[in-house]
Amino acid sequence: MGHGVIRLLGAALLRSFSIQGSWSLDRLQGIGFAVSIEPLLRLLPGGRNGIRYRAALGRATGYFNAHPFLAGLAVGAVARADRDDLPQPQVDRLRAALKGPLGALGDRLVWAGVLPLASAAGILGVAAGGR
Amino acid sequence: MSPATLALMVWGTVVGLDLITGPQVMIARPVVAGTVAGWLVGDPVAGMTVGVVFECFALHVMPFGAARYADYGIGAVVAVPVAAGAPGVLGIGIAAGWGLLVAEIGGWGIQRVREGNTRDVARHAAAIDAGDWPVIRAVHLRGIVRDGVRAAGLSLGGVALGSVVRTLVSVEVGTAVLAGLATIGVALGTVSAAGWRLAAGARGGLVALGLGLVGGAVWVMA
Repeated sequence: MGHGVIRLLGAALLRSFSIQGSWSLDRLQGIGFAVSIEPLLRLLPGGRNGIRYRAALGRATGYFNAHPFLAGLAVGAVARADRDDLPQPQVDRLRAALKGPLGALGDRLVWAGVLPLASAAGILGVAAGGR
Repeated sequence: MSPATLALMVWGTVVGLDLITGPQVMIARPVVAGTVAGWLVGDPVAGMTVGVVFECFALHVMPFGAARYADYGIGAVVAVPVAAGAPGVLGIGIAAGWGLLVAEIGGWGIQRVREGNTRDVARHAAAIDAGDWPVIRAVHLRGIVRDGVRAAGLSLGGVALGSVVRTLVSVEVGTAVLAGLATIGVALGTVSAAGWRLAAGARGGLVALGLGLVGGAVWVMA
């Protein structure tokens, strides 16, 4: 893997931290998903001026919603599917199939699991320290 | 403007952005936001105390999809300077009341930001769907700026007006006024909780409201 690819992967990772930056009521995380995946789409044949780049980027802006911590997995999987030139209906099905489980898993794991546990630990820590 | 106040406003903006826009590294959790705010104003204990109070409010929030919720992180940040150095429970109570009000305004602001993003996306839908990268990037950046303005405005207003609220803490008041203020605080909290129950379609919200008001008043007066 060349330095260029690593740099693009790093850019995609950093951008994924702002996946909800343009959260909208109709596409939810769609625009953020496209912003995150864009560096990886530059690897498609033709680069940023290629037809496949624009087509894939346009599709990436569609409705998407998953837990923001796990959405990066979908970004990587869809980028790989686009890179492998899978048929578009298959890529769309992959994206649609990933968002539900990644949302449910993240919500259960983070919002209903780790976060309350960490909050409780913090509150108990403050209470114990205040004695 | 003192350096501590300026730092508090910057911190409030960062906390507000972290809630949704990014980087979502949990600094928007009130217990974190409040503690750091307390450190910034020189009273970390008050910061932690306010943070824990707001963390208890924030724990019920499940930010699934388009869920609506208050911005308790900024609420904690603007409440801390009100509580800092104040004696006893009164300072925390008034600070919490102020912070909750700001948090609710922040939640309202989040909805406005989302609506603004939606209008922006709709205006440029053709270019976005065609994969026009400069347009997509611009829409995304405008969304971030929109939320940044919300967070900065809320922090600025919350800290500035909080200094007025802070004067309430230093005024010497009688027991009856104290009890009245505390009752209002309890009532506001109960109204908020009951309102949430009603909004969620849960039965018994009004009963909870009445019981909370009476129970809270009796508890405070006792």
